[in-house]
Order: sequence, then structure tokens, then C-alpha cells
Amino acid sequence: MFIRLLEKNIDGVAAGSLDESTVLASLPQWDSLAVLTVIALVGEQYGKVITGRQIGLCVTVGELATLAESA
Amino acid sequence: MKTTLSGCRIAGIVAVPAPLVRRIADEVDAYGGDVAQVERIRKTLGLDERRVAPPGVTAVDLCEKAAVRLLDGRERAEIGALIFVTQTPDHSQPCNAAVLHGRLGLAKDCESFDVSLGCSGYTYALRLAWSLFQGSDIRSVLVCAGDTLSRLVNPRDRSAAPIFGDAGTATLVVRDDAASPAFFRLYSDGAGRDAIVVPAGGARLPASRETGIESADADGNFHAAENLRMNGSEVFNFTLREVPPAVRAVMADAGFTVADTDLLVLHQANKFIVNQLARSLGFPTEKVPAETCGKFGNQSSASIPFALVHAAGDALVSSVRLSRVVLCGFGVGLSWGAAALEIGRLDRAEVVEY
Repeated sequence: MFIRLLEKNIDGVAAGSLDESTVLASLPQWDSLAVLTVIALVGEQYGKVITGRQIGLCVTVGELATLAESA
Repeated sequence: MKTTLSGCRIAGIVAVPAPLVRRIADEVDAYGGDVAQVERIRKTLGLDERRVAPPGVTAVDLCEKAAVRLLDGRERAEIGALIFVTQTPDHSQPCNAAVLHGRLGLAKDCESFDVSLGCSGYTYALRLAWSLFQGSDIRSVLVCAGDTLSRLVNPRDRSAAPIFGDAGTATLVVRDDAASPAFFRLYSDGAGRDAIVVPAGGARLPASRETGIESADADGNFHAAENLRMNGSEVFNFTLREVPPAVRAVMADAGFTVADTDLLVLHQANKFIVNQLARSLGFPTEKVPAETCGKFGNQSSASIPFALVHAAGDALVSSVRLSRVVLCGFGVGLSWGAAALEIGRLDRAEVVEY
């Protein structure tokens, strides 16, 4: 699922440390580089391109997961 | 637009990196002292070293070195056109092509002009070079592509400073009526012009004391109005959206397939982007050079010819077989372009130190 993939792909985030309620801005690794990583990850795993702006509207990890996994 | 042009071929390419080596690992302090963050940038984007020009060395100097090497043993009077692609000219006027024309002592009967484009510029310049042979008696065209973007980024901007390197290249295109055709697809989207921009220093906002004042943005990166600013995620989205269709279109025009294409040389924005594009296009990584940015930096207009000779220079000189090569540049403008052509039996294809 998306949250486990996120933990694996963002360097420095420990496995099992995120849940749907985690606020993205509370993560020290959440910056423009993390946004690029998420765009690439969603492109690879779900075959679609999401934008930096769409990601910027997400407050929590759960909202980001919804964005990634929604058709 | 679909463009098919014949009548010439590339005879040689020389690429010159700037001489000073900078290592991202040595610059942690400049990026706010956060070791973990710099390590994350280094690992994710595949950055290690880059080359930068010392004060007083410009794109003209780097390209002159490349051109002198490339033209060694050739008659300079044969050059009927000089195209210089750059975003970092010596002067607002005259253009770099005029400066280099004078320094190389080329004939007066030689068209010389600049193309003001960055990372897409090499594909534009090749398309122009090919077109200059049509309806003229030009025998050869010298295409120089070089930039010193490391000078335009703020050293405390970790979203841009660790990425850009400086280099100059020279490519010689010669008339050859037996050469196979070249295919080009060039595109623009000026609605995205703010995604990569140097706000000050031109006629719209001339350089002044105010334009040199630095301030920090929301991410803690510093810029002045005279610095290059890049919206990384917007540029990344643009690239993922526009580059694959452009590459597929030019390959379809040329009748190239992934299996019979020898090399896909993308603008070396960084290893992460190049690998993403290769995967998206279904190319095996061994056909898509991705190492240039990590060793030399993102070289703007110089990156495609640089990566071509860095990855395959020896083969392009020694192999009797022509290689099917697809090139694609993308960046400031926004502007992007793709070319599909057969290259080989080059007189020279090498990286030469400044």
C-alpha cells in the first residue's frame, strides 16, 4: 500500500513510522525533494502523473494516499 | 511540427567541462549545515561532483577550446555558419557567435548568430543547422552550445546550486548528400515561462543594487532577483508530461524502435529525471546515459553533446556502423525538442579538459 511505499522511498523515514493521520509538514524530510519522490513513486506504481500543486494541497499522509490511489 | 531534413551529417563533437571540481559533500555548510538533508539530495538526484568555471571564464572560452580542437586540421574558411546556443552570453550585445567568430578568425562569408535557449537548445540548433544547408552552398556549420549556469544560481539555494555545472561544446555539421535524413520535433509552452527564470538583469528589470539583495524563501533557500530560480516540482511535472510523447513522435517519424535505437541521449538534468524518463519510455538503462550530471553537473545547453561523447565517443569514432541516436532536450522557456538521426564514423568525439 501507498503508506509503506512512502516510508521505503523517502530517505530517513523509518518503516512503520507513518499512519494516515501523520501531518506531512511535521516530517523533517518533507520538502521539495520529497515532492519529486512522491511524483515519481505515483508515476511508477499507479501509472499516472500527479502535480506538485496537488501534493501541496494534502495536509496528511492519508490525504496523499487518497490522491495517489484514486483513479 | 514534424520536420525531416537531409543533405548533411555530424562530422565531429568535442566537449569541454569547466576546470574547477566541486563536491556536494563539501558544501553542507552553504546549504544550512543539515548533513542528512544534503545526503538525501545527493542520493535521490544522483549528485556527486560538478564542474564550475572560475571567475573570468565564460561559455565563449569553453566553446572556443572545444572548437579549436574540433577544427584542428580542417580549413576554417569552409565554415559557412556559426550558431551559438547559450543562456549566459558574454554581453547583452554583441552575441556570443560574433565574439567567437572573431576569436576563431572565421571568414566574413559566415552567418553567425545566437540561439537564446538552454536545455532544449541543442536540438533547436541542430534543426537550424540542417536547414541552413537547404538552398545554399554552405559546406559546413559549426554549432557551439555552452553555459555557465553555476554563476547564476545563489550559492545558498540548495534547490539549484548543487545541480548546475559549466561546460562548452562544439559540433561540426558538414554537407553530405548521401547522408540519411534527420528528424526533428520542436515544441514551446511560454505559459510556463516562470518555472525557470532569472528575473533581473535584462531590459524588463535592469540590474541594480536592489536586484542583488538576497532573501530566503519558504524552504529556506536564498535568492536575489539576479539569480536563476527553478520551480523543481513544476519542471519535473512538465518533463514527465511532455518528454515521452515528443520522443515517441520523433521515433515514429524516423521509423526507429526502442529495440533498434542504439542511444537515447536526454538532457542531463539529473540522474533521477533521466532514469524516470528512460523507464517511462521503456528503454533499457544501458541505452540511456545518465552519469553526466553526477560527475559534471547539469550543463544546460551543453549537456546533450557532452553526454553523447562522454558515453559513446570512442564507438562513434571507431565503429564502421552508424548508430541510431535519439536526442531530447527540455527546459527553460518552457521549450523542448527531440531529434532522431544516424551518427557515426566521426572524425572526433571526445571530452577535452579546459
